[in-house]
Amino acid sequence: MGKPLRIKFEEQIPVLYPRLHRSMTAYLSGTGVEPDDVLQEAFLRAYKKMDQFDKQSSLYTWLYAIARNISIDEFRKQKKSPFKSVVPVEEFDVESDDIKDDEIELSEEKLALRKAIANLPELLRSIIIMKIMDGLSYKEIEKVTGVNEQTLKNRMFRAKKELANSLKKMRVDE
Amino acid sequence: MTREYVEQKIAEASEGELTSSELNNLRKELKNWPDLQADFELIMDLPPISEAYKLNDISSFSYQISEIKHAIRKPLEEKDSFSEISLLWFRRYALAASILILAGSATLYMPGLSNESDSLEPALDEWIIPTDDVSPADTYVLYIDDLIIE
Repeated sequence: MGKPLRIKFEEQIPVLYPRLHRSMTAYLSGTGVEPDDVLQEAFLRAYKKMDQFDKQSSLYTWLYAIARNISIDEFRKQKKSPFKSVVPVEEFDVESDDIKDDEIELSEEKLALRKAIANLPELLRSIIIMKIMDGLSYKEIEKVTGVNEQTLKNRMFRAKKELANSLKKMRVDE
Repeated sequence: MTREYVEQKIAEASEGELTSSELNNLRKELKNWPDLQADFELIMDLPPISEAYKLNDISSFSYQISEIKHAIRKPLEEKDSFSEISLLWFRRYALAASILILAGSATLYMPGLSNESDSLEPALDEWIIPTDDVSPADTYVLYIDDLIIE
């Protein structure tokens, strides 16, 4: 007889947390919402609602959807547009206080890429993070977002086009 | 090919999901879409996006993970505040309470059966027993009498 789902979930936390933390750090970059706070809430909600997990998606995508919804609720509470950084790309200058430990040794290219991702609107940022950073398939992303595969691919095109233009602009301004 | 379809193919190409023959077909099609051709070149020139954020080791999150495990193991009773318990009981008995209140209100406004016959009797009397008020029929009969006399 298999282990109860809640026990399996608890055992998976150390595996799921680092991966979700990376995604949420990228997703929440520039919004002022802390990824650790969102993830704490997401894991607790998932544990309480374990009986609602339909097993048709993976535990990771289910948790990701919960964390994304919590983030969107936080954005609404803040009552500001979190989907774009409030600072235009050309003025985006990382102050010393804003630099996290893992960013200190980052190359300029990676820093520029982070800035460009942070400046994407939420819809485009989501697809970049889920598809490219998390390696989810379009089918899995469909389950998280409820958006069909063709539309997701069009969004991917728009997201990459915006990223490319942001990076090009940053290089020109240097 | 529609513009949207070409955009989808560019997205797939940028992910390395096209075969070489599909990629060749796309390049041929892009000659019909000069602006998308420029976008294609820009997108294919992007640095690896997945490397923008690295995957940290589990040891970086030992505190957060232990906090989560502690929170999910906390007994259910300790999590329920007084307000939550009150709401729970309110929801259970709200329907019964609503019905009682409605039934009580109805008895206050509905007329009793014993009173009905009392209120009916005076009306019946008025129909059967003539009142002192002069009816138009009486006046009409008197008028005709007056005319005949005249």
